Amino acid sequence: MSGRGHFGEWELMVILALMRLGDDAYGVPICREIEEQTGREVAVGSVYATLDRLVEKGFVSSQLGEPTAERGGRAKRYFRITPNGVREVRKTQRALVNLWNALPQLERGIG
Amino acid sequence: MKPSKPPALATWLLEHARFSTADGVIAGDLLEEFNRGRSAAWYWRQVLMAIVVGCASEVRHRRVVAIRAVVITWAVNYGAIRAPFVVYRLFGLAFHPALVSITFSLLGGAASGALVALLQRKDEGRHPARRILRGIGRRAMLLTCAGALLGWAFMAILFLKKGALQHPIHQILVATIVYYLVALTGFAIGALLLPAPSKPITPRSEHGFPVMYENSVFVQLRSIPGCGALRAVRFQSRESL
Repeated sequence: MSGRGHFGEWELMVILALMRLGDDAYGVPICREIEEQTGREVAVGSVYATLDRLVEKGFVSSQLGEPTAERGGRAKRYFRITPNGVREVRKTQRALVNLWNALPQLERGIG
Repeated sequence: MKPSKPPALATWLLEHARFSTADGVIAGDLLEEFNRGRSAAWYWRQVLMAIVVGCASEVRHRRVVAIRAVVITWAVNYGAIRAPFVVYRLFGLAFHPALVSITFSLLGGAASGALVALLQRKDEGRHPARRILRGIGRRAMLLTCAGALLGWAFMAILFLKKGALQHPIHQILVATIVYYLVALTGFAIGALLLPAPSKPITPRSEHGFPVMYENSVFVQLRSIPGCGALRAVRFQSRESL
């Protein structure tokens, strides 16, 4: 989807959660953030699959942190949005806002 | 009361199935969440989802190879399910029909498993990408074919066995599961019979380290006197490749 210009819904959720978290964006907080905002359980594997895809596209960069005992000696993988990613988010936001603006009757209810 | 340790089998599965280059990190995340109070059921769900998502992601990357593997699996097993009729024609009912069917199902499964694994090995030689070299592609294709085999088993029982539709659904399901288990056993044997591909030769720098580590801190330290022991450091950080 994003290859054609905009993020898909899931990609957008992941990248927005990533932006909200700033420097502390790794798997666990990203999943918690999405779960809190959407109220549904998130699969850690699918978050990483999406992040991997975004890394491949150059919208996100990743970096390994230090291994910790809490994680059984495994390292955290921190993610950060790239300038390209920010540009793409703005583009998607603009498109979505335009679409929402074209639906003023939604506030009063369509049906 | 919640167990203090996550399910060992689930952790083992995640660490050994490896369908994603991020499995080590995912295992760490899951452990962190489990220690914060998540249930064992949640842990299992996450592990299974990680395996399925990793496998699907690999298949999406290599659609043509995946389709080829599934077609081969179906074609070989179609041949295997028709073969008993040739035996009956040649030898009559000299052998018990169930024995003949099971033998050919097993052989068909084994032949398809071996073929898929063989073609996958050839692909690995042609595309020595990081994910493929780590066997992620091979495992993903084999798991995909194992899944496709279940679909095939159901269709084979339903449409290729005469009068199957007249039987009750539970009998059809039992027959499907039995046929699937036999073919899957053969598939696993066929896939495992082929020796694992030899490890690729890693290009090394003039210092004798793999070039991919050349900029790592450990390798940079090698020139400092007394740091020779660092050569023995095992590089565990898979993500830094």
